[in-house]
Amino acid sequence: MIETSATRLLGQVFLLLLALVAQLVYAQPREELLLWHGYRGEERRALEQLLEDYNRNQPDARVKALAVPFGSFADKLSAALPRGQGPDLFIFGHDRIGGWARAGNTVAPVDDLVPARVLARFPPSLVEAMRFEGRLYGLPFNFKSTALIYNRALVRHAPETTDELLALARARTDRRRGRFGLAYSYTEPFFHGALLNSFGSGPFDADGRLALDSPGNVRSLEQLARWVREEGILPEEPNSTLVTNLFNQGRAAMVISGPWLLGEISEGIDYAVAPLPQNSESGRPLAPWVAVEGLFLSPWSGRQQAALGLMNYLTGERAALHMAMAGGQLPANLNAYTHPEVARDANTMAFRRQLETAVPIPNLPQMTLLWKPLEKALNKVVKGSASPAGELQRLQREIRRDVANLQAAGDRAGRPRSIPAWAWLGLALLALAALSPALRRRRRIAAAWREHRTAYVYILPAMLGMLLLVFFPLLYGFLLSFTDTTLLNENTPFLSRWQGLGNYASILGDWNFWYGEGAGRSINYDNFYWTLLVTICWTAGNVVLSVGLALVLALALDKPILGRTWFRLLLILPWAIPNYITALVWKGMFHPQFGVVNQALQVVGLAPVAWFDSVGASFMTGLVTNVWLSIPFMMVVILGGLQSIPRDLYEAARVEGAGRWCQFRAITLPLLKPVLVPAIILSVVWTFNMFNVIYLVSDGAPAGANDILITKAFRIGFEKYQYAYAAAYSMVILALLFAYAMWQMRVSRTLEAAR
Amino acid sequence: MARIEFRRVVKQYPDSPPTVPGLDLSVRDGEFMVLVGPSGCGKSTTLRMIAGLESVTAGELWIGDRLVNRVPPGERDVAMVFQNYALYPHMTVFENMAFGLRVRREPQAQIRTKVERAAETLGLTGLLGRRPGQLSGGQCQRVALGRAMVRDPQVFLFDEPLSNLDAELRVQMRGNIGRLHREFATTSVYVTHDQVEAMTLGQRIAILNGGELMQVGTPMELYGDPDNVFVAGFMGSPPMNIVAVQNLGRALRNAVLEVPLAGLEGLPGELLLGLRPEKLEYAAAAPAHWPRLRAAIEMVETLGAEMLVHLGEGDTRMVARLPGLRPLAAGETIELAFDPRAAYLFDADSQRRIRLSQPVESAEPAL
Repeated sequence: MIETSATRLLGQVFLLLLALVAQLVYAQPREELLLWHGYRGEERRALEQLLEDYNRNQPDARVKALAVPFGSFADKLSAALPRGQGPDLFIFGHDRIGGWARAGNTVAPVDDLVPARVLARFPPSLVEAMRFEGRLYGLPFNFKSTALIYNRALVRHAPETTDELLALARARTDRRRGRFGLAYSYTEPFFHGALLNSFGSGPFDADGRLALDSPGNVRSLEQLARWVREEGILPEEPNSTLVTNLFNQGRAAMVISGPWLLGEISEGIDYAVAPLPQNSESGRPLAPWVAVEGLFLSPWSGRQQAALGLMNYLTGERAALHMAMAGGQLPANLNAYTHPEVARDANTMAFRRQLETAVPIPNLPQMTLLWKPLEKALNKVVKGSASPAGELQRLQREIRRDVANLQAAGDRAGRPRSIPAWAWLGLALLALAALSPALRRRRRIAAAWREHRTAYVYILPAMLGMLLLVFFPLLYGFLLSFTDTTLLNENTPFLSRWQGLGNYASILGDWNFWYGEGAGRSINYDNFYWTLLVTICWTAGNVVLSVGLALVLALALDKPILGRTWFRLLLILPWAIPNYITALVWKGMFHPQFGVVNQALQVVGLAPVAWFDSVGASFMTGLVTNVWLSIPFMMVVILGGLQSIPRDLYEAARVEGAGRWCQFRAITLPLLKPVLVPAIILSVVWTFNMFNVIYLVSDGAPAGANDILITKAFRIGFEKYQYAYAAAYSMVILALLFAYAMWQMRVSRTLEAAR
Repeated sequence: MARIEFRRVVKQYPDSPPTVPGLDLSVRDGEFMVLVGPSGCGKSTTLRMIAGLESVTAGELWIGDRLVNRVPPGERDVAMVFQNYALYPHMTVFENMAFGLRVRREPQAQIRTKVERAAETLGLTGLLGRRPGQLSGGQCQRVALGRAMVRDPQVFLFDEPLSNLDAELRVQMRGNIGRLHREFATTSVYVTHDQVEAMTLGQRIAILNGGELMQVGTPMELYGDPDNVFVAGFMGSPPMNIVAVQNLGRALRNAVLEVPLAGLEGLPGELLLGLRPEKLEYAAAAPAHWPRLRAAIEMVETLGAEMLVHLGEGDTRMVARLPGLRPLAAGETIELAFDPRAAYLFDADSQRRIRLSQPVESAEPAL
């Protein structure tokens, strides 16, 4: 009685929840105009004020804005838009236009809808940035580029040429005291754009073909390498936090950064912004990349006219002024800069002047594939482990191959294929295999259902969750791994992407262990078997060290020493800190110039180590971090195991004359086995797939040599955008872990039987 | 040559009163000494001091001719049987028994012979390949014994080895232990709280209470000639009746009895009289000059051949062990008699035995 009413209640609650969810999903009144953006802080406030103003004056069109977290913005757009969902309008960087246009159904061309007088508001370069293959895909809203920001206490006048800049930077550099003439994230391709573009070349030639190894590009890398390696005016291992900190501490005279830095500069620093100087080597100005935030229209929007009205309003002079003054933005509508209040702001105007030489980031789809490999190449070159020309030639080959892969997949997309007969047969067999035991036991299943109905109802939510969050993605990934899905063809029919076992063949059949020939030969760090070897060393090293150290600590803390409780607390503490924070802390500590590890080495008279430059040292950084992270858990488990060993066994052994070591070997170790074995199994699985530590600490440096399988899979999926290949990679990882688990279970079962 | 000698041995843990305030005790070579007493009396601590598992706070502890205060357990040449057996769960019976020998690096062949011989003595031969988890409690106990035996130590120590066994096994194992001791004649110290075990096993018994040694002696000495109320009450089952009596000068009296006695002059007015339950008899069959006592029956425990009759009158409670012939019922009044020579006198304050200068004589000589 109670059971049925409880069941009924549960059912009702469930229905209610479903209804609520449905309400949330479908209750979007269609007369509203939905705008997605990724703004935060004052930019967001400024935008929302504008929209309020718009709503007040346009009673027939209501605009609703949704601030999407920036990290997931791109994924949300490419997931929602091709399926006819998502916003009417969205604000995003222009560099994705090519990819969207190729994929189709993501963004609507607007060249027929926008009158020329509206386009006249913007400088031609920004309008050009919104064009792809001859069509206009949106209106420029704001733009962001880097410029030179300098500390006026250290630099009186902004340098006019790079020679001046170098002379100035040399004078302001004192490496021993951690002072630098210039600081910027020079290994990030976005920042290197300034040097790259000053040679007039860029990553693509005039016809949009990949031209990474052009002489201009090589010269830009040579110049950067000189600045870093010979002049020594730049700090090592730069990143935006380091640059900000150096500038705020007055230890960097000049930095190259964008308007986003201005909000983070300390009050005590008297700074100014200037356009980047002329490059004395090329005779042209340093030309930074400019990213244009555009207003884009969804092809599915049912209210195009209203949306166009809003685009017109937001790019108008009034809105541009508001974005500039309240939002601290650089509006694309140049009329804003003629307003006296804006014109008075020297910093804004400096960024405005920088626009004259800045180059929009190419919006070709291939560009998305370039960022990470280019960053790796820059890293190698500034560390001297590759020559600019050689590295760019290698990169050119690699990217061309990747692009060709993507293109091939994209070209095939048009031709739907029939599924091979064996696939149908296999599916049917699988379904039969899954169903037949259920059919055979249908009586028992029905009986079990009748008897334990409440229990089944209780586990239903968890089961549904598992189905949705674990099994479905697993199955989807499995199916995906047999296709050739990439960024460019992910929206085509699934069957047209089917290619069978090709991904697996190319992963497992990758025998290219080496790059180059003869003396120039080096290990191919992208090879699956190299990565597997690194993963195995990584797992084994971690498990041995963390279990060993945890055992030693647990043995020490098992004794009734003074302050035992405090020691235990201290040793468990690292566990309470999220592991990515710990990882970032360790990364900072391993910084070759400012990290505490190298400073400690120098205090004791040892030479500092360039931690991320060699395979071994870089491996150590991850190892140390992960051992640090895993010791607390291991120690707690082992302590528990130690406490369950009866004391009188040790007493018996002592009476029989066993010493400490003998007691440890004969009693402690064998009796710890029941807790050690599962702990080791868990530790192996966790370490094998420990993404955070590798990604955040060494990031696979140098050149991906220290990537483990899981980070490699991530890079293939989200840096090379070869989704299906990444899925196959993940399946291989899953298979490896599965095989390991089976083996481990068999071993522990035989151990169990021996007891 | 392994006597054990405690000389003013003190054991005290930090921040607590001494567990053993000062013990003088000697165990003779080859003797089976039982340490007995209620829980918390310090008997286990005393044993563990011999093993070396507890340090000696003050005083001297000698094993044989060695002062062992600072000798680690493994070098004392003692073997110990633990209450919970303390068998190594991951080793076979053979490995358990061989462990101590292996630690001492004896030759393999010798280990094998020794273990097999001990196993044969204890009836463990068929079990050598098993692990403790597959054995019954009694088998485990025999393995623990065997592990101690193979070492052929100077001293055997037993820490309540039978308390985890059921009654029947306990009797059997008691027999085993006694037989082994007769066979090997190794100095043994045996801790128990069970006076039956103490009586049946011990050549001599040391009774401890609150860390103090109450009395040492053979079982019959302790039973027949206890030094104090504690020993008198501890030995014997059911224990001796101790009743408060008034000293009238020539006789002792309380609510249920009156005993005429000589030599009471000069003794305090309040005394304790001890009477063993088995010394009480039906008045009808007893010599006429034996003192009588009359009391109501509170409860009768029938044991077959005999019965335990609980008597109560006022504050006085007594138990009599009577032949199980007559049907008795609670509420009846019964008259019993006893031989005054079997009565013990104790000082009510010090609880010490008072031995009258003249032996207690009845008015008429016994038959």
